[in-house]
Amino acid sequence: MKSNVLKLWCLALVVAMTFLTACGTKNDDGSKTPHGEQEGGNGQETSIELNFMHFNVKESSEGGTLAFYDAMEMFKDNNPNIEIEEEILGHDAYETKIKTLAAANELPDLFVIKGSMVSAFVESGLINPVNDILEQAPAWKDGFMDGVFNDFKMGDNIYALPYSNKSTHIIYYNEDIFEECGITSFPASWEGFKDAVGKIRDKGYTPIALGNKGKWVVGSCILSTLGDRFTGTDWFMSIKDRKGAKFTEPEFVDALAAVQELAVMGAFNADMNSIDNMQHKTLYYGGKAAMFFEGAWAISSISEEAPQEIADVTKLAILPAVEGGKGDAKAVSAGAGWGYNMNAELQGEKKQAAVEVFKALTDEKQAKISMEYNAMPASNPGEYDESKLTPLFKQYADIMAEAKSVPVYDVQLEPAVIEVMNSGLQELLIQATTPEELAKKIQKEYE
Amino acid sequence: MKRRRLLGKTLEILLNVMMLLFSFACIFPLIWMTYSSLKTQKDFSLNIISLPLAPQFNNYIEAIRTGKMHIFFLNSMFIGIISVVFIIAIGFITAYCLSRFNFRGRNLIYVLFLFGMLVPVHSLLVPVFVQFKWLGLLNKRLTLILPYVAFGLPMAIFLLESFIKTIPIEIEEAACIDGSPIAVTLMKIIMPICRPAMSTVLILTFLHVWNEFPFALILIKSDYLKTLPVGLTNFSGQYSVDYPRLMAALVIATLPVIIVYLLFSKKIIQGMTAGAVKG
Repeated sequence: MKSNVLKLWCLALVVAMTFLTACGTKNDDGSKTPHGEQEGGNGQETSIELNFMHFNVKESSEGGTLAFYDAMEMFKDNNPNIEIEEEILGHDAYETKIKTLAAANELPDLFVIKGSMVSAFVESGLINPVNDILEQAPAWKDGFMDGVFNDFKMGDNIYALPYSNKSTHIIYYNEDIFEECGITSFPASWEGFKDAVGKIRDKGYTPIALGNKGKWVVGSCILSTLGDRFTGTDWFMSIKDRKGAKFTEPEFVDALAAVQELAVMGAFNADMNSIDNMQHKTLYYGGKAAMFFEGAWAISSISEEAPQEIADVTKLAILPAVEGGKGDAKAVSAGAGWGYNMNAELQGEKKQAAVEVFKALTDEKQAKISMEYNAMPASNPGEYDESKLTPLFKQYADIMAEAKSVPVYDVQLEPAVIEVMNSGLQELLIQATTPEELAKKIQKEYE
Repeated sequence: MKRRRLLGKTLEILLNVMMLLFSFACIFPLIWMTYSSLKTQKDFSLNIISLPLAPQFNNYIEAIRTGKMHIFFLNSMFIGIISVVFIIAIGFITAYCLSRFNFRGRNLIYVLFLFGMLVPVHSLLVPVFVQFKWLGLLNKRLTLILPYVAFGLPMAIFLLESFIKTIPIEIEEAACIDGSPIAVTLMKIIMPICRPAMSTVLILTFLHVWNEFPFALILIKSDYLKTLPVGLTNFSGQYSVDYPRLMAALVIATLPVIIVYLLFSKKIIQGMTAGAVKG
């Protein structure tokens, strides 16, 4: 009996071993090895291989994605010797994977990173600053708009090349409802704005559709700009660089109070904490709400999803000036969000090829294509065909041409602080906390 | 008497209505997903729950043409079936040995297997990735089967071991006296008795493998080797999600799971209670 058991186990072991070796060897010959060291000696006709991980999924119809593929196609046609192997994942999955790869020190050659990842990546020596690359091509460098590098800066070093510049705050409003409520033009002052909200509410509409279930909407799309109106950008910079500013300062508390005031006066729909930003647009599309606050990405949603009669009367605006506030009335919270960088280990011709790829993805020519796809690039587009712009995007381009970009809170602050702030804002909206208490709580987490 | 019957009747109706509501709450998302997949993005964002006005199958065509759902589907099927076969074969033999033989280190082996159930998958992502990298096993057709089998085994062994313990040893003794070698006893006598427990293992491991996301995301790179859960993330762009198309892809992904469940549901319930009462 015992010897039989032994036999059985041996058999199982053998089966397991053959299986293991089979998958170890059988597939090896077919797959490519990305590291071409062995062929480094004979330089003639060897193509340079780069792998590139990003989240521009082919299924998407977002302008930025379409522009990305135009540029890639063009680049591949012009540079047949550079072979780019792409790995494409959905946005959230991408974030998980890049962080895991970074932890395992196995980053692909080219990739996209977010502002909040920079410090961790730099500490582990995974990426190098791109300053020297930029210095070598002044024309390319000067093409970038002001402030787009802010998200990726540590001291003077820049750690990624941005390709888009998105404002996170735009007010989308229904002109018809405004007129029906006796408001002829978008209010030019904070008091006027509150008046308008009151008038719209009295007519039975929801003044502002808000879906804050994901917690970030109020922080990103309302408070980052409203806060700047009250505190000014210097305050934020001092917070970010830890130069003494506090969240408990009266200006910031006033900004929080202003958010709560809107909630108390019934500016938002009652279920604001249980619907998401997709659903708040549904409220607006249904003609039941007069406004919603969201970033520039919603522009394409309007032209693709909204019923014609709503899309036709939708206009864009930004928050009006706040009397007594320290901020600029033209400030709009905006940022690049993501930017390109390469593996710190890339050397020689591979590095040179990588730079060429990045140039193709961020230069003026690309900015023009991007603009014509109705996506705001991070570089100046120069001359572009305005007729390709949708009316809404045209308005947006006009607003942004005058606007001053200010930081987006949840892109630039540490995640822990943001978590406290965004959860606190949810409570603030339902009056479960006061502005003073919330400010103290954020300050405590910040310290 | 009459009043009591009336009371009983109303209670019954009340209970039934509640049950109906519960089952409706469970099944509605599936129905909603199915009919939403026939809507256009515009229809969908106008009214999330309304029925499609003009049903169209474009989403399915797109899900297969650009979304390559059929490839992901076949990959998932391939990996699912192979993993389940391995889990059941290895799990059954191991469970039999552990429950029938007393040898030194038996408890250690058993406990080691059970520990497998306690380790959170996310804590293993990076170590497993590094290990696979060294072994050159990343991004191969069979890559995912290894971790899936490894993570499926503990539960399979746990369930089968406790089930085999409940089978009277006299059956095997009788077989032995009649001259049946152990392999025959195992395959012809024990295995058929274990069928309910095995179908439980089959269904649970298959579902787990079918839905597994983290390993499939980390270990696989090529589009042609990805499984469904990772493939589905391709439908969400950075700022917007094309919901109806995603729904169409989801229908493609969920349909087989539902069919597998319907085929085996009776067995699963049997297997679960069989283990529960006697174990």
